[in-house]
Amino acid sequence: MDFGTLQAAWDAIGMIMDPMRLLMLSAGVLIGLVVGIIPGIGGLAGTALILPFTFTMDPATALAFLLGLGSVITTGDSIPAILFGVPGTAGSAATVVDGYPMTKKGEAGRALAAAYLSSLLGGLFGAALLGLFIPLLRPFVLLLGSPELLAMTLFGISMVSVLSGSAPLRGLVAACLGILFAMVGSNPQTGSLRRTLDLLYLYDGLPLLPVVLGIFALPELFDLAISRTSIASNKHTDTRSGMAQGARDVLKNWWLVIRSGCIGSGLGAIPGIGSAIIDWVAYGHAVRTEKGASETFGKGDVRGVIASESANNAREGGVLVPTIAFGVPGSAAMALLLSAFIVHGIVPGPAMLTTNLSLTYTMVWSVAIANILGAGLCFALSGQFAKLAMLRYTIIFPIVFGITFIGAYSASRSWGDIATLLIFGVLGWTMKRLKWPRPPLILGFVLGSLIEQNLFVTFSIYGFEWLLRPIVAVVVILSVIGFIRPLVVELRAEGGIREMARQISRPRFYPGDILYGVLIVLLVAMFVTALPWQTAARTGPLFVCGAAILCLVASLANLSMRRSSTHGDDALKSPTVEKVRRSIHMDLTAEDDGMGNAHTMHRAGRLFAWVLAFLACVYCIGMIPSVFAFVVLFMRVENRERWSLVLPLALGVALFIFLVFDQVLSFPWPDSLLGNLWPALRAIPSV
Amino acid sequence: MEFLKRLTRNRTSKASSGSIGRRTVMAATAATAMALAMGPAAQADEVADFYAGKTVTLITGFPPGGPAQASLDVFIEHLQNHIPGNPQIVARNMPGAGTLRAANYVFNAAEKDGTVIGLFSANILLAHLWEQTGVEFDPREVNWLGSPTRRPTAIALFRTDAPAKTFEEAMQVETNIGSSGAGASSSVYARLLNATTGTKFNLVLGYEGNPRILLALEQGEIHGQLGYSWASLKERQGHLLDSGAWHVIAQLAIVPEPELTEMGVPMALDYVKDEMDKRIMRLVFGVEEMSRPYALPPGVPADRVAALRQAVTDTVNDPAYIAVVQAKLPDPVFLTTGAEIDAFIADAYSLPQEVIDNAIRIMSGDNG
Repeated sequence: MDFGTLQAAWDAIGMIMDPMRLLMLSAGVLIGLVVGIIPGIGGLAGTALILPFTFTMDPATALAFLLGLGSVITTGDSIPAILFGVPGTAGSAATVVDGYPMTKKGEAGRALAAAYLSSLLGGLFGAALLGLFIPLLRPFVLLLGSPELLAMTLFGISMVSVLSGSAPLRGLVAACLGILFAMVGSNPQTGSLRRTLDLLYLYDGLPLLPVVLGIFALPELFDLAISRTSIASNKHTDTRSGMAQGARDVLKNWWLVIRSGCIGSGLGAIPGIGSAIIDWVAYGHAVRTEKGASETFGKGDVRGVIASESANNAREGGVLVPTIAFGVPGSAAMALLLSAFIVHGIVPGPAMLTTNLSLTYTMVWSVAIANILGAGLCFALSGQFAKLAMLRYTIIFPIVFGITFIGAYSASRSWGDIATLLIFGVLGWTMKRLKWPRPPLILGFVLGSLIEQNLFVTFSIYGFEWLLRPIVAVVVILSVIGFIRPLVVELRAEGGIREMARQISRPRFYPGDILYGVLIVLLVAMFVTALPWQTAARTGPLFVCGAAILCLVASLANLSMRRSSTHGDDALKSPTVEKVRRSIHMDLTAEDDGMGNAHTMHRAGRLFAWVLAFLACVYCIGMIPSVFAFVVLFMRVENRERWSLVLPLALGVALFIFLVFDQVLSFPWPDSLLGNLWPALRAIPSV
Repeated sequence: MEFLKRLTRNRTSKASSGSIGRRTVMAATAATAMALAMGPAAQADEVADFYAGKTVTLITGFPPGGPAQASLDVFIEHLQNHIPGNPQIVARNMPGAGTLRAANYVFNAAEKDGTVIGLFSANILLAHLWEQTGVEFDPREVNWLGSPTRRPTAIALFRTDAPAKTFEEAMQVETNIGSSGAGASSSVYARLLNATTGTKFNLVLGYEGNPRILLALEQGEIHGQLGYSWASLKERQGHLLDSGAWHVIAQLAIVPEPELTEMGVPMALDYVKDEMDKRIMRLVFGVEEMSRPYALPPGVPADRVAALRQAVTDTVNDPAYIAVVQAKLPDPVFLTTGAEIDAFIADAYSLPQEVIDNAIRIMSGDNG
């Protein structure tokens, strides 16, 4: 780093320390935390919201405001992930896996503190990396062509095997399903529409947010309502000492923080690989490398939280790389940052590293300071947050459920979002109950379309020669090893192929296997219907469909033919081979507290009726009145909560949604029956 | 074709804002004539009475944030002052399917009393003619209000070390052209040029967005890109132009850009020999240039349509509006009136069916 660069970095400190800029940066941080905490708003909508206000500011202030918001969203989003199992944005889904069980164990304070501190350190690490390597940014990005991007996406997908835990074949099927879901919509190579069911909603593909909330948030909420308890069973926990413990955990695992930080900022620099993937890759890395991880991860191991959270905050430093150096947005929110660039006459590219270097450094400092402010604020409020987990389910469920619904609706603001949320919610809940790992599905969903795109570009230019490029070769070899090793370990744990073959007996089936049947029928149907498509449009889907069917059949055969040695447990609950196992199911498991199956299904049915009633209500009287009615009725009917509690809560939630989603975000609400019959009633918001 | 003629006239007078005076007179005359034709002057009061105290919803097909949003925010701030009765305007985003989703909603499901306005990509103007799937409206029935901006001259941008050094050489050797997808305008350009001028552009599809394509061009992964704007090129990648790494081999526009013509960059249209082919190319280039039109659904009372068309015209000619746009936005101020859009659409629909069918076949990539 030469003197000129140091000078620019120093000048930038002076610029950012201007009181007005610090004030706007803090304002950005505050908004960013709120945006992160409320499931569904996310960085994109948050940035879009404040963007117009930045047009009148000077460039450094505008960027400080925007980056202040962007940098701390991944700090805020861990709060609902840890407390309710509802990821605040797609980026904290991996935090749920260990954070939520910690809350259930009464360790919410510890998990939150660990999340903030690792967010802080990860964020600082990302900013430092960006600051140090600024002179190398352009050569670095020029090295990353389509073949390299393809290799990186393959590396991401190789995490499927480690994230599948003890059910590798099921994990592969889930990943294939994710990829197939990603291939819905208009196909870039041919322009043909794939599986859009003639719905305009699906032309651009399924939006990420309702899918993530459906797969990860709804199942936790459903199980909360089914178990009918508060989230944290242990009522007497000292939050303060828990928080001290969480902070110590992070410091003890400093090496994990740095490795996750590298993953976060490295992958963040690759356009298209967003926060929805980065947390899982870091989490998978931790599972693979941390001592004893395979026994404790997924059951409330603080290291899971640390890996996911430090990676996600380090990402912001990474996404700035292609954005600043080439004007290629590193994430969707960065595209908006670029439009702020335009308004301020800032041109991304070489000038950012020469004449505008000090401005570039103000961005680095903004990210760093925002992370400190964000984590500090969260720390201060943690004690209060942690108490939420002790509240009764009749208070938590209707409120979080209502907000999650509206959050999902924010993706494309149509009924399609609600349908997507529910369909994936039911799928996610079924997967959780039947012990199918869910993370691979999200990996496949986010990476699927990237792989397809880069594969076509790469092959049409380089053919097979792309594999000879040095970076590609290294990453591909790493991916193959990373993919195969957990499978081999799993195989060994079963006693090797010979031992497995010895156990084969006449197949036995349980009712829980019905999911296999459903999936096989579905996939075969998808395979057949894809056959008439143009070659470029069908190659990917056919390959993935085929692979999924093979895995399904292998998994079913393995399961049904090796059951003789295991006792036939209650069908729905444990259709897996529950043998002596040191390995774990890499996902949250559903605990029933010894509740019988029939009982569970009865409660689930009742809950589903509530959900359907809510939908019908939205259709009839509009979104906001429905949330109000839902909160009131659920609390009264399910637990006869007292009116003096019910009414203020319901009113508060409705008012909150009205202010945030109607007034600030100006949502176009779906038409309601009531509003269509008596247009005068449209004066009520969302009717 | 009135729109194209006026475009020519205006462009040759160079600066778009400099010619506002004459354009104002023309547009105002046209609008007045139309208002007179519609009926008595008392109508203005009726319209004002209707809009007074009302809230007009502006459904934009573009996602929140981004350049379209910035232009929109500035535009509605000034539009409010020019609609009789000064209603409040609230923008709501309904992104999806390249603004087609919003268009289907506004033209079919939204209120038809003039309280819902839509903002879309100009590509939807001819989506119905080109038989795109999912189009649920006929653009000839829509009440187009006008477009306040114009897309700057599109170009064929190449690396200087590409196998083809000129547009003519691109007819001899194959070159790799980066594009985001089969339906993207760069793909449509490549196929049409291949079919009408004999170029040998080979499409590499799947890049996520234009910045990514330009990065691939800089990396040397592809040889060229079609449809980038000359103005953006100068502003953003000027260093690559200056160093001689990149150059422009053709203008993909109806009207020549003086600066490029001076540099000896040919018009792609000049290589198109067949008259019908030429008309198709003009339609395809012309649509892009209209950028982002505003519209009311079919069936809105005529006096309100006339008042809103006038309001759009007045806004674009409002000096306060022009000042803000020139200071804050990358878009040039350029008015295409609703009547001009109508004329453009009518002209497109007057083409013989077989010509249209042929164009659709080429654009969709069938044997193209």
